[in-house]
Amino acid sequence: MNTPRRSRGHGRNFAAALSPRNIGAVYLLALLVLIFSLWAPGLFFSEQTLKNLLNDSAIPALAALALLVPLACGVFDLSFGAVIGFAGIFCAWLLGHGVDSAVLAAIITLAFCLVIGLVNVVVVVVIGIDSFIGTLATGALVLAVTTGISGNLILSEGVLNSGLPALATTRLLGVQLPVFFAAALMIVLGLLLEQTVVGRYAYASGLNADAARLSGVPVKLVRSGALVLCSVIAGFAGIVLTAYIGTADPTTGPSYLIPAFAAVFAGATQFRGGRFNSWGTILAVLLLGTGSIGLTLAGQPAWTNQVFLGAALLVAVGASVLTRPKV
Amino acid sequence: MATDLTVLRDGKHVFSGPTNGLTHDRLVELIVGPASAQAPQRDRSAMLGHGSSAKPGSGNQVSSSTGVIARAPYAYVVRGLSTKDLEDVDFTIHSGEVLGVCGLDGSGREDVVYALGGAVQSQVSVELPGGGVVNKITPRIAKRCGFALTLSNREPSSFVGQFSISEDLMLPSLAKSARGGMAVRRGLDARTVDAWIARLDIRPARAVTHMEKLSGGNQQRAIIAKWLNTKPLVMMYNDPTSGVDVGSRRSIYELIRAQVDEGTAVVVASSDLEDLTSVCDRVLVLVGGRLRFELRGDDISEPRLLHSMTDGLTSERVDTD
Repeated sequence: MNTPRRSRGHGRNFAAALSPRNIGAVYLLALLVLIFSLWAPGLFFSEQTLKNLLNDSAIPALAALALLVPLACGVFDLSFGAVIGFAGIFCAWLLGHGVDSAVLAAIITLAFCLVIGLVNVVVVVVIGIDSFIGTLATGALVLAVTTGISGNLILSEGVLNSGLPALATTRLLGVQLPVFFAAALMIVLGLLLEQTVVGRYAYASGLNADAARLSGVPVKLVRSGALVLCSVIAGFAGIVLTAYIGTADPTTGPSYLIPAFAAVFAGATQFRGGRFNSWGTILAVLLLGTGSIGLTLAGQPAWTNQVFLGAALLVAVGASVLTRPKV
Repeated sequence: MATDLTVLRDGKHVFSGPTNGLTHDRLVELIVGPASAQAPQRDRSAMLGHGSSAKPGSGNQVSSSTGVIARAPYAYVVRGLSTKDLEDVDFTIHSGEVLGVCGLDGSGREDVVYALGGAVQSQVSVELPGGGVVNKITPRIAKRCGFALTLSNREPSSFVGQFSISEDLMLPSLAKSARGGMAVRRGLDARTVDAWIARLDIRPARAVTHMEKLSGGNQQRAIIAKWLNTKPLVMMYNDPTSGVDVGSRRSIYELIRAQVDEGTAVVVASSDLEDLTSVCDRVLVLVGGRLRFELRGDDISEPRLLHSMTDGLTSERVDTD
């Protein structure tokens, strides 16, 4: 029997790895840093700016990573914004109504978020309603519940005394704790998706669920796990948000939806040839954060940030589409 | 239903005329051609030269082309197979034999292998070689029973287009090769995939190539490798040569005979008569969802097959005017 030759080409070559098609956002980031350094001289290019960037990006990063999981499996989850809001309000409510320990309040809150994830599973996987519509609906329900708990007020009683803010404000090397949570989650999800059987099953479910099923992939189970994980991560993001600002606002959750989608989709164009991945997602979050801070330091009004968000998304996705070889 | 008929064969016009007085046999002869009706099945005798029965009690022999160890003979008994298109089909699958399944579109022929592979829901009772009976078949159960279903590369669900050859090939076997069933062993998988690429001559020989970029014949071979890698006891194909060029067609036939030479059981459902005449030892003919005929040996010829598949569908025209 012939000993099979090890075939060439188990990895890409160096030049392809560094091309704009693969890491265009890195070049874009470098370009932005350059532009803002010149536009707001003395203000932008500093260590403090970097720390602010990282700290401000932590919660958007957690939100984007929450969304990454179901998208990789081929399901939408539009309820996670409402879950962020719910978690913040619920945690604050617990702290203001007899729960003394911040840790206990957090655990109870995450348990409830897990249940919300299971509701999504019933709607999308068990009943079979389209995930886009289904989670849009569950999100609306969660938002309603959140508003009900908070009485449409901002809750703050009990939060500041509970030790919860320590979760957000503790610094390590001058950078707040949540940044490290986000970095750790990026690594965990990245390794999960790329180095484990479950991760391979997730991508298979997202790229061709029928083929996956025939190969024995438990698509329904994988997607169920993804929806639950998304809600739990979103819940964690909501708790961190309340810890950060010391109060809980029922309306802020949904505002994380669009930046998260932008980051995950733009991130898919980076590093992994079109596949949703955690590294690209975080890079995209930092890109958007850079734009936001840069525009603020350059004295621009708040609406310019929205323009930047849209433009950056178009550039990142457009560049990868235009440079793709024509089939 | 027709009053007049035109027959085309191999792109040429062969016959035009009224259907009145045209017998079933004559019609078959027109479609298939007189030469084919009489000539011996050249391809088949060459193919079957290796010997078509399982080597009895052959012990452990590693084959060069599929790496399968020869086994003692075994059989699967299928009873009462019913799906949307099939009605109560009974048959037995034997190791070391290629069983063909044919029938017109709508006869349910593909459902035979789809059901056993868990791709469609069915009511069935399958007696497994070790004893034990299975009544419900899903893809995971099928794998556990030793079935493997290789779809035609034209089916969108036969492979994940944006996966590399390596990722798609290993997908059904991934849990077995991973450390602790969880951590993918890239090095080990790379060697496994490279071995298949070499054995089946898949081009380009780069395991990172996306499946959707391969040509039809190479895709089909990669899909075959994917399922051979699960070391099945029954390897099943549906339309294995559609969308495949002539050269690849021969190599697929040789591959099928090689599997059978090692003692694996093979089932080939096909709409292509050449598939059936070239490699099958026995052919089940389905008409209208029911098993009507079983052809063996020299009876497996294009005219006989066509005649059987269309049995009862042509009738003497009742002259009403």
